[in-house]
Amino acid sequence: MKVRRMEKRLSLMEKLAIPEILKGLSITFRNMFRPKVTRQYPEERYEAPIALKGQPLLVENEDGTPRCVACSMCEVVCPAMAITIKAEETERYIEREPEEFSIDMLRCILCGLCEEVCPKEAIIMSDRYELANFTRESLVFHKDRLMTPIKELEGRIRFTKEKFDKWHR
Amino acid sequence: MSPDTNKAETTYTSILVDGKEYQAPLGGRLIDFLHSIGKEIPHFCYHQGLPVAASCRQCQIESKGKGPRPGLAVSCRETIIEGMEILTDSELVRKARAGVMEFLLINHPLDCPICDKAGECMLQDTAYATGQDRGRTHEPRRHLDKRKSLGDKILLDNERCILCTRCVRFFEAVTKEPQLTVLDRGDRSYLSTFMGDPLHGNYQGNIVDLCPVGALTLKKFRFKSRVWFLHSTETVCGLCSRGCNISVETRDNKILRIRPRHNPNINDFWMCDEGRLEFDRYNLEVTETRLPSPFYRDSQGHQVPTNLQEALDQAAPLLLRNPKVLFVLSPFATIEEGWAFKEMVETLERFGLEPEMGYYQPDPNAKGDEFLHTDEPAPNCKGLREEVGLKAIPPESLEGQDPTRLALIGFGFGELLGRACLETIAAQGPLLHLGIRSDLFPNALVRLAGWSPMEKAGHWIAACGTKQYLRPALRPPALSGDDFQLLTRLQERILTWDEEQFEIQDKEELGNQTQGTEEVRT
Ligand code: SF4
Ligand code: SF4
Ligand code: SF4
Ligand code: SF4
Ligand code: FES
Repeated sequence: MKVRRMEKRLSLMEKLAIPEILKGLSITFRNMFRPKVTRQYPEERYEAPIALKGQPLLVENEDGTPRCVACSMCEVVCPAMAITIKAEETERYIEREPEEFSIDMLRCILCGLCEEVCPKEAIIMSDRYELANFTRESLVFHKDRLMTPIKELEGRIRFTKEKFDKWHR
Repeated sequence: MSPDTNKAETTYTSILVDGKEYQAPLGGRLIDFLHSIGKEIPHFCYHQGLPVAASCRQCQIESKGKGPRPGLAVSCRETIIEGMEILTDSELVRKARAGVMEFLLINHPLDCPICDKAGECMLQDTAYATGQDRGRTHEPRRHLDKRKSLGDKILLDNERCILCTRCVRFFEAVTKEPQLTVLDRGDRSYLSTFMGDPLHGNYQGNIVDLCPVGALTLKKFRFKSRVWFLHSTETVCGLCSRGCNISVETRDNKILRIRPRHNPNINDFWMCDEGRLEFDRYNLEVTETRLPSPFYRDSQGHQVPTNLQEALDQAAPLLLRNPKVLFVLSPFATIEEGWAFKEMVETLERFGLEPEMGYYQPDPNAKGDEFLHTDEPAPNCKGLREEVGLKAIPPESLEGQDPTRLALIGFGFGELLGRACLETIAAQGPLLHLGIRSDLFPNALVRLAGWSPMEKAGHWIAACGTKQYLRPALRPPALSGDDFQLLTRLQERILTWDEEQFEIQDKEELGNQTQGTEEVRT
């Protein structure tokens, strides 16, 4: 096929290109004196707002027991099928707890459905967002790495409670 | 039983349900009829296999015309009469049912997240349907024993019990040996065994299926999996010749639970505890007790894993060179396998050999009772005897045999053969074994990896003469094969065996290998 190319005739000023260069540089110089918006990331950390849905974590009660009762609601709701749970019997009043609980963070899409569906407020979207590593295994989080003392997650628990109460009134 | 099973004698009458006219069987149970026309009537205490108690009041309907007096009536107790006119979803009915639900839930613990019944619980379903999502009471709930062991199979959670008395009636009316009762009165009632004794008998598991809530749970299934992850397959139990219809529920290729299916001619709604609980024999771990692939014994006596073709190449000359092999088929084999087995052995006869064959007829065991369990501990003796025409080989005639002329074909010898018999055979090893267990005959000359009854399709004939279809519930290991296919391929290999080629290539090797069988080789 034959291609016809339409060439635009440039004026003399355009051919010189100097005004355009000056226009561009003016933007550069103007921005040099504005306040910076770029963050020096690894050194300068990002404080996540409470609404951020970071990595889901399991809540550990004050006495060190898991809050989760291995009901598998999160396992079944998870659209990415990232959660695997195996239940076991305990001697406590609440008879059931997870023997195995793992979240595959390579699969998790941080949708927060697990947090929303949990009847026990036992799985909470934390503010952890740095999820990179060198091996696949290290990104499958098991119970030992998921269990987090309730103190660290209190803010988010309160936040979700408020929101859910508002929506489900 | 549902009214339409004895159609011949039923006369029909027309009744009005929600303003629409239906032909209903005269004298039939109203709730069954309503279910059959697709009306959902919530109910707890009513069960088709049990006498009516009409104690939960959840199945209420409104009566307009003749029959029960106008107003509310419980549909599980009403029989159908002429000129009935009922409403199943009127304002009054809905209010009455919601009221009953509210009372039931006053003391019911909020246990769904830890309760094994969640997902198949009638109380949960009805609560959803009624839609009352919060309670109006402030009083503390009743606290009772939550982990009461009723013997070695069942656990009772008294808090969850809604006192429908289905379990009580099961022992009263079905096994006719009452074991459970409701003690105390009014709001203090609770379920208990007589004097707190543990339950006994071979039919306890049925009350777990009957319980509409999660009050009775099987210890073996407790917390194993949520029910919605289970994959269910409709098949037939093989642990006795009754042939109960069951559904096998699996997860990750493992059987977790077995439950009965309704078949009015064979097992009604029930099954025995042996069939329900002893499924570990099918759940073998591939690496430990499950034969993952065919094996043969080499000249040093080591077992060598191999592929099917090579195993058949090893097996064919063994069978062709032994003039008097005794082929024993397991009574777990299907009819189809029976035919393949028979043809395979008859092929050998064409070579001028004198093989004997038959199916293993196990000793009657002591588990037989007058309810379901027969005393024949295998599913298909009748089919192999009457349809395929195989000879029965009782344990006595197997005991005196020279183990090195035996070919044991099929699943189940480990469970069926007596311990002493098993040990003598295993010591010198049968000639050929086709089965699923690797620990059974470590000295067999050739072992073919077969499938268990939970992995294959086929037909069994139950003691009552019904031919029933088996469906595969589990996936077998990759290198094993369907027993039927293995038998036909073995037959094919025997037919195509080239003696000349065999003479040149394999004679030496084979001679060493069959050292143990010297006496029978001529
Ligand atoms: S956040 Fe979403 S994707 Fe991640 S584990 Fe929870 S439900 Fe699954
Ligand atoms: S939904 Fe909550 S309680 Fe249930 S298994 Fe998940 S984390 Fe545990
Ligand atoms: S244990 Fe279950 S079946 Fe028995 S009375 Fe209670 S709710 Fe009914
Ligand atoms: S009665 Fe026989 S067929 Fe029925 S469940 Fe028990 S063992 Fe299986
Ligand atoms: S089902 Fe009719 S009263 Fe219980």
